[in-house]
Amino acid sequence: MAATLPSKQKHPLRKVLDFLSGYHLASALILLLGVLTWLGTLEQVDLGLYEVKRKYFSASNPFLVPKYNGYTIPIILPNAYWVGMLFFVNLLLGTIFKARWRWASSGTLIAHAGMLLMLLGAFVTQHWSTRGNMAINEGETSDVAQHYFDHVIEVTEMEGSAPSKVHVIETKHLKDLDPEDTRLFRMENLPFDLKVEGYQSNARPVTPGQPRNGDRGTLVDGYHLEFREDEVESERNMGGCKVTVLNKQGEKIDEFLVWLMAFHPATVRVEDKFYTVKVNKSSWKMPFEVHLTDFTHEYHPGTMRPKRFESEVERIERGQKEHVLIKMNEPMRHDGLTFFQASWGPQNARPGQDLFSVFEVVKNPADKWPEISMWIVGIGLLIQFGMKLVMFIYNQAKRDV
Amino acid sequence: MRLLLIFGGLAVLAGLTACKEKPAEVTVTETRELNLSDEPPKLGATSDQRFGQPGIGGGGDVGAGEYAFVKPGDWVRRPGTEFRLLNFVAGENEEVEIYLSKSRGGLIGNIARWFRQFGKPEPTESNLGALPRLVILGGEGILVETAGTYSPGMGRPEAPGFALAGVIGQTPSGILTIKMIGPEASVKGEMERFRAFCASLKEVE
Repeated sequence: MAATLPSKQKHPLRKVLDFLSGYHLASALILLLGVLTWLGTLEQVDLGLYEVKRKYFSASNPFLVPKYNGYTIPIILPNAYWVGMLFFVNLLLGTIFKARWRWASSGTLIAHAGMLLMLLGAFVTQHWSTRGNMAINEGETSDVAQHYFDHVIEVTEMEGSAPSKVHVIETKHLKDLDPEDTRLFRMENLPFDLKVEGYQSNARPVTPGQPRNGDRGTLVDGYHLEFREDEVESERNMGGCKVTVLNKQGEKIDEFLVWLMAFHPATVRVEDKFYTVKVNKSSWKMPFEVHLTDFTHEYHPGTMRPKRFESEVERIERGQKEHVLIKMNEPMRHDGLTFFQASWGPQNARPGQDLFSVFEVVKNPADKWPEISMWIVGIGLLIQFGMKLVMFIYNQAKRDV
Repeated sequence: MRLLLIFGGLAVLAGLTACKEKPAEVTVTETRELNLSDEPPKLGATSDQRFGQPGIGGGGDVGAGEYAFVKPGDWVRRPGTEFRLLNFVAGENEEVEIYLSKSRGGLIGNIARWFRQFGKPEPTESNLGALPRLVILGGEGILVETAGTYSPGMGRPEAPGFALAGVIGQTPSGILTIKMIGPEASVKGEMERFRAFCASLKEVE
């Protein structure tokens, strides 16, 4: 009877490490990323860009069920954010433990480093980048960008007729509210507090006699807020809520509705001082001013497709003016901010009419990382294939000799 | 199996984080810097003034700076822009936009652009006379109606099945246009109210 040799058992941690750094996992994750991107692109038609990004690429939704053309596709898929994270871990561990650390593999190692940088860039962009837009009329100056989607409640202290200080209830304190929720905001530096009820990210003020298009909040001063489904283009949502102003003893001073698109803010008078309350898009002050000197545009002949549009601006910083030309694919980069030429208006302007220009303003510490990572991957692959080619030619020559 | 374990673990983690209770109270200390867009607001505005819908359900005279008009009952007024002196939406889902603008230049150029946006041949001076007329600000306005695929331009998606009803008239201060754009059926449904609105428009001294 032959004696059986004890098989060499791998340590469980080693097994985990092998799995996490393995090629099988890498292949599955790359495939999943491709499928998720494809399904996300299809669903974007119905859901809009913002919602799709939240559904497919947000850390808060680990799993998702895709839909296409209104129909649910009965599969549960992991969120691309977590797939990307796992892929980063896989690539990092694979590079450290599986790759061959020798000169002959230097190109592959460089290419891996490039891919890691790209994934890291996506992570930094997801968590630390800010986007907004700045619209300026020709001949006017602006120093503020507005976020596309984030609504805030602003309480402005007035000195005479001019605003003197703006207190902000930030988006993070509003976006988890449902219409049936109530939240008390203790305004630490103001003589009153605000109670917010019936907050809805998309609503319309309506009077009781108007045709009903959705659920309605409490009637206040002849108006309800009627709740609407979020728009496919989320930047078109018009948030609103009911606000009750309470003194520090909790007694009601006033109540009113506030709504993003209101013509004027609500006014509160407390202790002979005026305050205004309004819903606004979250704004973001620039470290410099931008003056739009001129805007020009051109269509492709016989179409409404833009061929060229560009803005001549003056960047004004600490009294110094600098002339900059911002074109469709040539943004202005300054002080960590990038100004892209995004759009313009009015769309039906005739020759000679004053125009306004819209810039997308982006602050992204990883702005150039994808480009750098592509260069690194390119150089890595060039080295790897170059070495292979040289070796092949060398071996062929040796064999011929 | 191993993949299932990993994703299962992630799901449990997500479940735990989702269990956070919504706070009933929040203390607010955040402020923001004033910027160039912080202009003096109108203080003491009523809800009607703030939401711009006086006379809803019954219509009413509403001043808009230099214009007075009777707003059709079910139109909803929206804040204007520099180039939309009056701005309304209509229809069950507010799918129709109606706005009044002032511009310079020729009638033919404006009308040609409207047709171009619907992929229709541009009219010539000679066939302008065939277009119907409407009374606008006591003078004569040309009524333009067209339908088809609307191309708003600037990369915005084309909208098939749309229609335009627009009135254009020469006034002493330049060309005045009132445009109504939206899905064809909705625009047709608003046509009578559009005509009534145009007829009610007056310049305020």
